[in-house]
Amino acid sequence: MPTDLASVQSRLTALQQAIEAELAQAQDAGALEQVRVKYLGRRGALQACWSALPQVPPEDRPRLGQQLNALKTQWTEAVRARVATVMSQAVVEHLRSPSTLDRTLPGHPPVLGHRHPITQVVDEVLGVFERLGFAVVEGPEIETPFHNFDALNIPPDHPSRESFDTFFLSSPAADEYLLRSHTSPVQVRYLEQHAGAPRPFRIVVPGRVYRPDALDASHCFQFHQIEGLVVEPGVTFADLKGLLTAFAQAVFGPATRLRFRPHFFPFTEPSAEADISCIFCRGHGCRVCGHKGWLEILGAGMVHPRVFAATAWPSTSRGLAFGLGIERIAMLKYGIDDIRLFFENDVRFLHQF
Amino acid sequence: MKLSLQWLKQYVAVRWTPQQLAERLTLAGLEITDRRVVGDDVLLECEVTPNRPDWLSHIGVARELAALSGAPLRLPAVPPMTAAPGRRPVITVKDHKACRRYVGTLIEGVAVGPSPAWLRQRVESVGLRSINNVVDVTNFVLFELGQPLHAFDADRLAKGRIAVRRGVAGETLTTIDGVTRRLDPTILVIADADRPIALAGLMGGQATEVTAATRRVLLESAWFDPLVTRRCSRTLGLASDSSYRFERGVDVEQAATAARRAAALIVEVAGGRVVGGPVDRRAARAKSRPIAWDPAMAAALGAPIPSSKQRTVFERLACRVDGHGARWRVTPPSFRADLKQPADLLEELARLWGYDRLPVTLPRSYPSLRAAAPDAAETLRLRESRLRDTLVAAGLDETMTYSLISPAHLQQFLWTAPVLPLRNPLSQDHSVLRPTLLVGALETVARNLNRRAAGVSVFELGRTYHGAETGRPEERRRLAIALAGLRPSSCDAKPTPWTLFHAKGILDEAGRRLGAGPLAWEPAAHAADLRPWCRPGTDLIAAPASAAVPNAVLGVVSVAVAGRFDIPETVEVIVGEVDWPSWLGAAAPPQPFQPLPKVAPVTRDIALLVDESVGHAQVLQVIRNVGGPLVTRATLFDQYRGAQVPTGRKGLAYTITYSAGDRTLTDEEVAALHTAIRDALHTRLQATLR
Repeated sequence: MPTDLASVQSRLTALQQAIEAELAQAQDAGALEQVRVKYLGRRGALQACWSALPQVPPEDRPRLGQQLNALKTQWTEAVRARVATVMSQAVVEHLRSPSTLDRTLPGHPPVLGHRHPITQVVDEVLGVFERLGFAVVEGPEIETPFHNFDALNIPPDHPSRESFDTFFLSSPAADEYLLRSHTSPVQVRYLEQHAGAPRPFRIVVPGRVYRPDALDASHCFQFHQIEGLVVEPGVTFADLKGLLTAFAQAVFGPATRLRFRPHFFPFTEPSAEADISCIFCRGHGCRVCGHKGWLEILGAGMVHPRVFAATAWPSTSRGLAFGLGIERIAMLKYGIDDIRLFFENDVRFLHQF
Repeated sequence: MKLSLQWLKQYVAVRWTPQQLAERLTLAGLEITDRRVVGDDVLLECEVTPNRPDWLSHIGVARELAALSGAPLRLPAVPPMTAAPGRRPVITVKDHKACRRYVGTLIEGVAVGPSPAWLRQRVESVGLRSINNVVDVTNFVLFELGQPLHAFDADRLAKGRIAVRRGVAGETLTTIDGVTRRLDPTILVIADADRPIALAGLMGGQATEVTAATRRVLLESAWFDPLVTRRCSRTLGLASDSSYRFERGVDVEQAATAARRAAALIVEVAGGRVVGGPVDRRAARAKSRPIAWDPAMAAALGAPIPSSKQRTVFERLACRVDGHGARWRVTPPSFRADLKQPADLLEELARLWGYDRLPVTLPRSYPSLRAAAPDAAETLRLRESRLRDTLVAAGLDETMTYSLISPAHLQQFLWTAPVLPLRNPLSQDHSVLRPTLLVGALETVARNLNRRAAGVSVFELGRTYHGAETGRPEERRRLAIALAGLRPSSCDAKPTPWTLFHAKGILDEAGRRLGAGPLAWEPAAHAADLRPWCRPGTDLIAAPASAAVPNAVLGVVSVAVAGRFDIPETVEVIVGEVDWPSWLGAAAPPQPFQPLPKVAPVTRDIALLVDESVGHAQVLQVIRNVGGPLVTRATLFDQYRGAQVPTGRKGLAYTITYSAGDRTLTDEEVAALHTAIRDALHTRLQATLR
């Protein structure tokens, strides 16, 4: 049935008015979808107009085609805009009404990783000493006997070496290397490096150390220490007590008491071991402290003159040194009873920190 | 060492309760680790530090108690020896360095038998077994005075002679424990005219042992060199109460006193008489070495200790104090060989003054000199800390594995490069220094998966150890990451597995966060040779232009290797290891701030078909080159292969963001740029539009 352009166009005008009215009336997504299907669907009104195209005189067809394409874009946009309006109205209405949320449901936690407890304790302790003006220094784990022993006044074949049983590297080279058995060799290295221009300093040295202890709940062949060294004129043993008391109270709480006992270390004189009042029973005596009320926590002392001599520092130099075990502190802090847990890396363990 | 409280009280009147006494000794440096009531006695277990061998006896500890409390020390009366006439033993010391003193006393007519009750009780109170009256006396004096003694059956000494000399290769000696030992010149022995009869300071020989038949006893009270004793003890794998004391140092001056004390006791409990008097062979007396002391030195303790108190302390410790003013000379007693220099006296002063009485102060020159700007080493540590925080924020857990690993595990990891073994490992499982963190990472993955973890996502920041041809082995700081199984998810999302791209993305993001940018990853070319642990076709490497060895590797662990680590074969394990200091170690200069665009940017998508060999990075490079500064972002949002894509090609779809910052880009500008990009992709990468 031939038709002319005018009649198709008048139909389009009518459709235009109708779709506008219907869109305005539609109040929800479902109604809008019906409108879309009715006008823009595969069997919709616009498609019907396309079907009329062959009946239009050939010279009018391009114009009509363009017009239909434009309408398709226009109507699609109109539907989209109306959908958006209706949806946002729905959202606004929803937000205005009281909520029926089940507020007892759990939160959705983000998935975060965990820092290893050893790292956490190291950072905490270093933080304390950094606030006290210490710089952090590190050193090698593979050491020479000179740095690990001799310069620290631990001569070969001396019984004091007994408490420092050590792993040695089997190397064909003439040089002998060992795995450091404490962080104290870094004292020696730092003193050596600065012997040319001796100036006061305060350093703390975190690091991994090794001793041939068979693996069990309380021994491991590798563990971590933090070493401290203060060299400045006029520094006193009382200052050592002060620095370590500040440390103990920062890490174990302000009520912590510190007890110093004379002890022997080849590289300090006077030497001391320090105990903290038991953090579990506050000094009254319990299983953890063996009913003594005290927990041994660190070794310390005034730098032995021979250490200064071995590193070519002036004989008038005066210094304080101390060393503490990180695993020991972590075990006390968190009540961990097996040192192997630190290196087993069971995620159920790691996730607790 | 064990101490009997009753025994101690023989020498000093302490009015302290056992608990107070234990505490005072502990606070004076002799740690009492255990205290037990045994009958009417209290047994104290104490830990003697290597610098205080003088505490290895009851009188030694009584001396300390007297100094601490001010109570008088009551030493047993040891009268001069009365000797019957007779031939004195012939004693020759051939090595005066190793044996500075040898006192030999001959006692004849003893009746060896059980000890009287008091002696047996004393000996048993410190954990020894009562043997017979003569041997028990030597042990009694050992624990009373700290002087090791030995009693020989004098009738069994060839020609009745004693010589202190080095062992001779080929000689053997059967000691009283029944073991026959081979001797050599490093071993100091006591010999008679014919053969060795005792290991000096260690143990006597069986042939000359005192038995029930013994009538004549030769009593040895000697001083043996600590180093010589220690070496002998080590060489022979033998230690005794005697060697323990000689190694730490015995007072050379007490040898004669101890000989008199023991001889008198033997005569008392076993009868007999000393014949000919003791033979005392000693090297030249060492000069007493006074320590120059200035009371002002006590300032190092931080407490004003008056010089009169200082004098009292030194004198209570049996030191002789001469001089006055600022020039004192303090001469320690012979039993305090540990006191050599002012620092040692300082400790004595602090000990007796009381560590607890010293004030608690902070160094006065606080804050000390400290560079405000971190040096390279400190920068590295701070960067490591930031890297750790970034990885934790990405959801990975930090691990710490052993630096000492098993060569078998390295082999399972198909590691062939040289490693650093220990000379004295505790066990094969921990006998080499790790050259890679990945073995530990695989062990962690396996352990957790086998303990029913659904997924593992971990990293480790640690050192690896590498041998050098000559000189010092090298330590490198490394980062390892390992992802396996399911990603942890929030409760509203379905868990999905970890993939290679998660690992790559995490590492790249860490690089961006630390201002170093992502790694320039390349699919590895000769995978099989370099990373045999990788599933072929999964490994990536990144290398700075200067380095011959890639500083980062990443890949999926092959099923064969994973299986050897006991990882279930249904789980894909992605691991990577990065030599991070060469990438992230230096502080990056701050990135200039990008002004926020004043107008909304325009986005256009582009979907391409390219050859499989074309990589994402190449496409990105073309887009950026052609787009210039107007392209602010280009992200891959889809990739596909399948029915509509010819074999050997793949589909990639990008969203390109165009922005000029402060002005609106016209449609024409964007269209022109987008077309230019499309054309360039076509000509340079043979990309076709989809």
